[in-house]
Amino acid sequence: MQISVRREGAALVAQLDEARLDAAVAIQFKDRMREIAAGAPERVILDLSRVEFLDSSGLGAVIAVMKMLGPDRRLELAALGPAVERVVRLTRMDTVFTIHAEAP
Amino acid sequence: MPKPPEPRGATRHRIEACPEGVRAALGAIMAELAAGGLAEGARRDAEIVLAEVLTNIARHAYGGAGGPVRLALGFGRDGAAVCSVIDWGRPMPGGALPSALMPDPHHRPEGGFGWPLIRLLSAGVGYDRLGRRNRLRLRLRTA
Repeated sequence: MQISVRREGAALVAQLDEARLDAAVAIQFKDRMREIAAGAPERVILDLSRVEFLDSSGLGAVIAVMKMLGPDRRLELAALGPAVERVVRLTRMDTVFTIHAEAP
Repeated sequence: MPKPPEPRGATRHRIEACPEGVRAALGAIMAELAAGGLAEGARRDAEIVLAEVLTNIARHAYGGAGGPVRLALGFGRDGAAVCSVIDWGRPMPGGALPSALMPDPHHRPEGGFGWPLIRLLSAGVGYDRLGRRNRLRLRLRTA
């Protein structure tokens, strides 16, 4: 599970370097994001530009990461491809996450 | 919803019910659907439907212990892709398909999206228990 981390202003941007965020990697994703979340600033942006496929297990892991960040920090999503966007919209999680067309 | 028919002239896939087995199967099935002329948007939906079906079998029917899955994929007379999926795991609770109701996003659910997605993104689903087997029959969307 490869996740590249960079700072953009006050935000931390975590770019998932995987083509699929699915049941095969959901736990590794959560574990790696837990490390990244330790000491993260108030805004964390998950850059999904390289992710071509998201299933409900992957989405559940993203939601778990949002909860892991706690009430004082927020997780935003950026650069959703067509298949990822379809799942996020159909589950109405687009009403919960702030979504950016492109990663900063 | 009418039960989809058995696929005609189907290709058969033997799948191991584990996350890596699901990934491998999806790769092969998506290539087959592309070769069969299914449009890109319909393939995208089919991949979500089949990923959720197979992951549910791995997780719930086999409880994460692994087991065999047989998937047959074909095209009906009307050109629709139809698929039957058989496993030898536990039956569906209550012997019926799980709820199609999407969980409330504001409760920040970490699961429960699978079956609602399957129902939304397929054109028909039927379930029956045949002896010790579970059989799902799916009609995929063509557009």
